Amino acid sequence: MSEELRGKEFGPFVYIVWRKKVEDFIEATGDENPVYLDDEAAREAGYDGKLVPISFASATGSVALWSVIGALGVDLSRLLHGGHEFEFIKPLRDADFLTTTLRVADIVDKKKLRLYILEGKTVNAAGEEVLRFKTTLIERRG
Amino acid sequence: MPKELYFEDIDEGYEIPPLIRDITRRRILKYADAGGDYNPIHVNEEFGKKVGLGGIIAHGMLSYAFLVQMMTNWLPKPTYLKRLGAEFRGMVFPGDVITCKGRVVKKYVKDGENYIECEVWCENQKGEKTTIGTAVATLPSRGQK
Repeated sequence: MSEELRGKEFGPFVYIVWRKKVEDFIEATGDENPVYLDDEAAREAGYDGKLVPISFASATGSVALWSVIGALGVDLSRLLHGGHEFEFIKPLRDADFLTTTLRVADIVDKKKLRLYILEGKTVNAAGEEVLRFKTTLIERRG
Repeated sequence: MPKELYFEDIDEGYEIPPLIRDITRRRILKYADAGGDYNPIHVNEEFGKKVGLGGIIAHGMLSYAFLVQMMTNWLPKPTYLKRLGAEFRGMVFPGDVITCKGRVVKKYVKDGENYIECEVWCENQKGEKTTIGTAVATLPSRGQK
């Protein structure tokens, strides 16, 4: 069944960057760079207003990932997150309307593990690419 | 004021200022709120016990976020960070203290841009590397506007 999933595309999934979520994130991570909190500090650093933490990218893909995990039919108690890579193309901003698409780039069987390698990208409302990513899910088998 | 740090000032082997974070249940739950990742292994103690983890574990992406934060705290501008990839090697539990560390391993110029490549990792209080990865960033040259 997993073979049919190779190359399959998922999405688009929508995530809206609300400041409330950014505040939750900053509380979780302690990522309090002034350019994320204060328009004036951001302008002094050469931006046209405050940014969303670069690290917040990590929180924007969960919805997409969960949908794919559902489609992969992986038992949650056997699922691990093996790794993740982001290419940061453009900083996220408050109220950004993000659309993520991804595909199953590869499925690799290794002894008692099956790796699902997912690749995707996220664009903003203007259609500009903001993030590219690759993520590895590990299913413990047997 | 933006911090000053130039490509010329950085040599291979340069150590990035570490970032230390204590892992609390509150951090994990707030992280779940931010991204909507409520996988029961991160938010449900009973489920964590049932699957043999002894309780909840932190999201791998929380450690990832800490590594990004270490880089963006250090770089003069957070948008100088171009790429970060990480592998989650060990589980992170409430009560752990995670130290993120990094070191510049390569400097190069490509298409007129100055790049640095860094190895980055998270260690727990026992010195075990729970996450390892690579970060790529750009830096300005002295005198470059």
